[in-house]
Amino acid sequence: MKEDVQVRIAGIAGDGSFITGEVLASILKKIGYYVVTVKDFPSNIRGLPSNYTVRGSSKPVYGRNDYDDFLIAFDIPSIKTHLRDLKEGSVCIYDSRDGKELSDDLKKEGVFYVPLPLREIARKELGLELIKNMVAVGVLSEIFGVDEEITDRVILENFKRKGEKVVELNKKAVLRGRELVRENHGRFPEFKLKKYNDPGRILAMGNDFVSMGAIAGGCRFLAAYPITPSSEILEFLSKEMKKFGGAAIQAEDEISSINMAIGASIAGLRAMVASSGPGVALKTEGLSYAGMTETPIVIYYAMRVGPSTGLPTKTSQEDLLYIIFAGHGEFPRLILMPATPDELFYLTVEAFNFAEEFQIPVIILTDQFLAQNKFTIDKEKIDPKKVEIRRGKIVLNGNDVPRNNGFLLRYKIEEDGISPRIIPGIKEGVFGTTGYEHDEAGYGTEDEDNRVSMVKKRMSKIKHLIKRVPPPVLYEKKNAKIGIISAGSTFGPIMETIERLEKDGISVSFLRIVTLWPFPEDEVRKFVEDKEKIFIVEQNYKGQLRFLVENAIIDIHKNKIRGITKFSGRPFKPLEIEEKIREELK
Amino acid sequence: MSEILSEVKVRTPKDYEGYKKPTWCPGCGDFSILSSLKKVAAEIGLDPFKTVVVSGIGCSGKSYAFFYANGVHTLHGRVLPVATGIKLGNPELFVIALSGDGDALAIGGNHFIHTARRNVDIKLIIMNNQIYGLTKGQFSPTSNHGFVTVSSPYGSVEFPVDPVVLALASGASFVARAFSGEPNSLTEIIKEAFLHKGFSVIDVLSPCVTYNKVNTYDWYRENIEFLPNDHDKENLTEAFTYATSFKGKIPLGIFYKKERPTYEELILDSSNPCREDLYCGRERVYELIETFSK
Ligand SMILES: Cc1ncc(C[n+]2csc(CCOP(=O)(O)OP(=O)(O)O)c2C)c(N)n1
Ligand code: SF4
Repeated sequence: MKEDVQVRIAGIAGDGSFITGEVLASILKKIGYYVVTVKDFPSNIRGLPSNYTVRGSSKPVYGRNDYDDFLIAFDIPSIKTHLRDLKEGSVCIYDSRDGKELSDDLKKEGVFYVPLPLREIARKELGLELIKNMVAVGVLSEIFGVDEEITDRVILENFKRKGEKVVELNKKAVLRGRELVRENHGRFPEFKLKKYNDPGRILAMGNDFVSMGAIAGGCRFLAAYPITPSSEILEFLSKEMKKFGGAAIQAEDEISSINMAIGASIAGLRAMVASSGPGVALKTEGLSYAGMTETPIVIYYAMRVGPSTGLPTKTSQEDLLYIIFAGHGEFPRLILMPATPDELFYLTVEAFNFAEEFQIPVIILTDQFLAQNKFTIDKEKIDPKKVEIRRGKIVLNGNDVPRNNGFLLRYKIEEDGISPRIIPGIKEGVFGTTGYEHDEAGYGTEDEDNRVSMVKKRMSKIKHLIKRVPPPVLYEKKNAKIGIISAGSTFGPIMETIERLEKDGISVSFLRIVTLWPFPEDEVRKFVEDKEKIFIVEQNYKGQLRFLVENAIIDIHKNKIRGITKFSGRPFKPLEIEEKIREELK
Repeated sequence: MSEILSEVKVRTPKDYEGYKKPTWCPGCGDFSILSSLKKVAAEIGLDPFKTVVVSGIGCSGKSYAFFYANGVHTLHGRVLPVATGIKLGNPELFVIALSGDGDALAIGGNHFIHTARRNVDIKLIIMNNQIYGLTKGQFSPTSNHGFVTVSSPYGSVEFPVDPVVLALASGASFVARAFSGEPNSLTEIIKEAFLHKGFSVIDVLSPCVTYNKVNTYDWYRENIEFLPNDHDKENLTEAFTYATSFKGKIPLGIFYKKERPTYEELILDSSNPCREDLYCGRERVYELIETFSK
């Protein structure tokens, strides 16, 4: 019985690897497994290689495993590409159209090679070559021992909007795949999966969890310009927002989108933009305007590989330092880095609360891996009832606010740095807002004393903010002398690494940064102090998180720090982290 | 937020005096635009609490502080996106956008096209002095070919864009041109634009007395001509014809005026997001969770 299985489906974009993966993910979820998907698609629509990995496990998992148990290769070059992820005992199922015998360089010891006439069956027996992928689903379902009733239901759910005929044809294809296995029955008994009852977990993309968080958190405005890996937010919310009387719109560019969100926020809405590196680069002037005008906005930032267009569909954590410092001038900001589905949901809600309470820009920082892959989570972990909406010092009646000559003091200097937030349209009074340095009424002035007080007012929010932001999450092992620090999507492989090392008697404690900025210096310092070695795991070349950690600790602790970085655009496998740590401990 | 509506009281132009006294150079064309705005506001009884003046960066952009209403002074070129956000945020607000020729057509040129296309109900006044005032006299997108400035010492090699033609081509539903030196017609045109529902563009020729020594009041007087009274304002072809060739003169008046549904009406289905309960999304999230856990 297998309790952790990983399948990779590979071919040319257009081969249907994507839908195969999605269907498999649903099937695994239905037999009660926790699921993760890893999409690896080119920035191209057709003709280039693409692959989709699905992992199912009886325990919660948030990343891919080291090796694939199955490779479904729709073409021979895909075998070559993914050979290194096969190990002894793995099964490589490939389309025998290209010849049954593989050349030696495609063979790895201990791997079972199974040529199957997927295309031929699809074309000759089912009349549609494209449906070869559902034949492959059938093959795997039979090997896994999944009941027919379950595959039928998944097929129905996935294809019902295409009509009954399509559903029937897909069911037939799955059945035909099952027969292929039965004809050679008993070959892979070790891959039978355990059967659990489906507890109805949520299976959704990172971006979906963020969109749901935005809806629950009272977001009523999104302006975005399509960009991988954040476009799904625009797509999701342009469907949903109408239902709550809000607007989710596609702007002409990213400059426009952030300025639209600023406008909507000034009008009193909870407003958001969603983008990635190249788009955020265009938004930085707006970001600093929001900083100066103390306009609450939420920026969802899903990092991809740079510089420039880089690898648009691949993952990275290359922009940590960039987003901390982006925008000219000094102003407070909050940057949150979720790592799990529930955090994606709740931190999005909190992003809106913090933005309004502190009247600052708040950034939700994810990456392509978290944004576009699917994860399962137990339903009770996301409870919209628990959502709280805190609007801060919003003012609905001008008479509650002191004024100067009839102009309300939108930027009144207060001890906590937070002024009354006046919404236009309220009774009795008007106010000004400007990107120039301004007085308490919001009108430009170059007065030196005013400048000093206004800078102090804005910056004084930080000390109050620090007390309220989500602290790092500590996964503590008693007396551990080794520590790991990371943030965001590296969480999954790190947890698996720790578990493996624990089995060998090596205990490792783990500090996961949730609020990237203001950087949790105190917690980091404390964590580092009693450790002998600290590994900082991150997806970039320079070691940006390491830079922040080293900046927070005193010199004598710096020689403990080791960086584990990956910048290929692909997420970490646990083994990559594990090997580096073992090597260092030798 | 039911307090949004406040009663309109009888007002005079003086009631619309802003937080500050204008700081333009004496003789600047922008004074006349401001005083026409105040006149129109008084005539139609504009409610300052429900009005937002959005302006850009430039001499023109300073005007947000000179008019009694809510004032939002945006970044250079970003008047229209911010105005769009405000209008979608609360469609009951009356949104006036004030922009320079550089602000609206150089750095903000892209937004100009798309806001017109969308027909957001914003009244845009381009305070067009054919030069960059605030940065001290560089050429602008409306400067004439051959115009000598500090940044075009050999004469500008670029040809100007015509804001009226661009507005017509981009789908603005109200397009007009006026001249600061003709305050009566300027006031009338602003009033008509204010009463029009939809994206309204007024290109106002507004001399910069300090840096533009070519396009002066006298020069404009010699080069302008009013559109004939019988011009059919709903006829786009006719509007284009007048805008592109008119006796070798710069035509003034209303070129085009035709209502069609606004962007905010279409996007919001006539709801007002400002009035919605923020917790109303929660029930929907339960439903979404159900669809994702099937
Ligand atoms: C992003 C940016 N670039 C440049 C500037 C400098 N700048 C300020 S005003 C201006 C031009 C203003 O010209 P126009 O829009 O025609 O307005 P006017 O001053 O003539 O009324 C420029 C280039 C700026 N503020 N922001
Ligand atoms: S520089 Fe020109 S545009 Fe600016 S205030 Fe003076 S006259 Fe007006």
